[in-house]
Amino acid sequence: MYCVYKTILLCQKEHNIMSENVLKRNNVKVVGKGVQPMLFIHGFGCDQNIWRFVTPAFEERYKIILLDLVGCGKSDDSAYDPEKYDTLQGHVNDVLEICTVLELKNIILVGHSISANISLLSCISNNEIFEKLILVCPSPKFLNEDGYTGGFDQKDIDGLIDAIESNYLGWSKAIAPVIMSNVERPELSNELEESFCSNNPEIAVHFAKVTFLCDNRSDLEKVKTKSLVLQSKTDNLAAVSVGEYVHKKIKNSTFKILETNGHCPHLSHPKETILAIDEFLA
Amino acid sequence: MEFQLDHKDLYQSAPCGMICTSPMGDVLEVNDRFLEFTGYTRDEVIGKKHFVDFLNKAGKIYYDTTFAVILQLQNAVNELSFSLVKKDNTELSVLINAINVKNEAGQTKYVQSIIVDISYRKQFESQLIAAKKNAVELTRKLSKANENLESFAYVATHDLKAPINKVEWFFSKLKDTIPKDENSLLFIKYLENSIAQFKTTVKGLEEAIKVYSLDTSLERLNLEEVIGETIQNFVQEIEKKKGVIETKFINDGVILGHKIYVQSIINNIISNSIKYQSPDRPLHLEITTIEISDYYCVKITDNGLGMDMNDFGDKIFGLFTRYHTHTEGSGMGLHIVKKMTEQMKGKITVESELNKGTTFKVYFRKD
Repeated sequence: MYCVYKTILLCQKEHNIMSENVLKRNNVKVVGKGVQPMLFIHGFGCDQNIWRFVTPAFEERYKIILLDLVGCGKSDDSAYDPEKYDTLQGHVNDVLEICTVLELKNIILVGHSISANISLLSCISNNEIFEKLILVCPSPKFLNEDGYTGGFDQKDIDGLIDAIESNYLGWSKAIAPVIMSNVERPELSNELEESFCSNNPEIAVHFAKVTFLCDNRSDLEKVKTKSLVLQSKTDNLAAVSVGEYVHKKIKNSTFKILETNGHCPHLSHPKETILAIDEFLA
Repeated sequence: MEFQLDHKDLYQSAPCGMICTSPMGDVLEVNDRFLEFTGYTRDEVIGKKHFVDFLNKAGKIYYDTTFAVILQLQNAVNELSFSLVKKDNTELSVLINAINVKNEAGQTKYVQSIIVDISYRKQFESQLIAAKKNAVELTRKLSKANENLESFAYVATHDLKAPINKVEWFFSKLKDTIPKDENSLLFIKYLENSIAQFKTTVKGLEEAIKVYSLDTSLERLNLEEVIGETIQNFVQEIEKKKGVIETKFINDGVILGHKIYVQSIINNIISNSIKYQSPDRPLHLEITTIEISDYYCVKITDNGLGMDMNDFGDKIFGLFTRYHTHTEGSGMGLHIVKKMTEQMKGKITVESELNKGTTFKVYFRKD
């Protein structure tokens, strides 16, 4: 009897530790006064900060869950296993784990750019816990192919990798803490601590490859969740034709073109973005 | 002649391109230098071009996923490297700094950017990146090789252990059947010594592998407490031989290390002092701790056999090297001691004089 009791306690303890690790790993933040969960996932290049102009509009009515994909923002970089994250499925598993740990259901899942793919894969993996899916500037495949215009060729992606590498030249995890503890220039330390979207360069390069070489076109048809495809009118990364393609393949989807330009309408045009999401959720 | 400062002139001919864009990226104004960089005329650019029109496709992605995002979140972005696409479709390597210029209501009026030509340093940068990649790749190969070596050593010691234990056991059985004449007894003794020596070596190898592969973070240790505990193990043995052990400690030196390593290091050195004591005088051991800049140093001095340092020198810390051969030993003790101090980011030195004695100084990192 005692042994059984002890085992249960141990399991409980291990479960708690695991939960804690999952939330820490993805720097999960929960805010808001509502009950229904609204889970936001940022795209390539930044972290959960990118949602900061949009989430306040939903805090009164929803429970907002924010996360940093592993390797981005303040996630646990040491958890970045290149093998696990060599496909988007690694991130999908993380998202599903977070949903399990927080016991979320009826989730409204919002994913931007590459995380639109992560989001729709999550919905396919566990349809039951997701109620609605919002894809912000999605692209199922960035590379051009016969009969499909993703917008980019291999040489463009190679150029992006070069750009990331030269912009991070000399950037090193080892020297970052030294700069941070700059006693003579405290303003410099603050700036670095508060700097957004500062990702480890090696991880950034790997994530860029995974992102821009992905192909989730065949997954679109498998999505059963009620979806909104939010398209920016002029978007260098995901053209209107790409958004239309996504909308056509996801049966239960609404298509909305925002009168915005750029790939991050939630950042550059938060009002328009909030309005469109509200319309869809109403 | 009085110098007349013409701001307009300064702006037009500044050694960097300047460009003002609307928050949406439409070009509002550029200086002459920018036109010179890109090969366009003013009319072709103002009100007609967008900031990203001057970037290649890779640059557009980087602009949308990073540059614009940081600018919007922090109102400024600095030193981002891009390729500027000229009118003739050739590219120029540049660095771009940009800031949001706000109105009184805090809204962005326009974005002001400066563009610096870095084509010359870009050539070196490419070489640097290539060199860095190469270094990363070499490091990866090296650590892989080290891993392989470690597992090889591990397997080798394990594979050596079993057969030598068998040899020992079968020999002990065989011994009973051999006639005990003088010759046989001598051979038996040689064989037994060899087996013992073999086992010591394998055991030493095993210890060495453990030291190589322990990779946990260092803990805070009270140095004197750890040394004190370790010395206790020897007090009886030394007193029995009429030896003296004398300690002079500074108080409360806290170091960073692994407790088992510190104990093992002190153990090894004191064992050596006992093993190699002079037959002419009782052992006198002096153990002192000293504070030296970033380290606490433990100085262990004996009056034993000593070594000729000119002859042996730093070889003392080598693998399988032994100075005195009249007693048993694996020749690995001090090698492991040195590895252990290094793993704790410390160091070890030795001074010795033949027939006078030996002094080891072990330096431990202060907390």
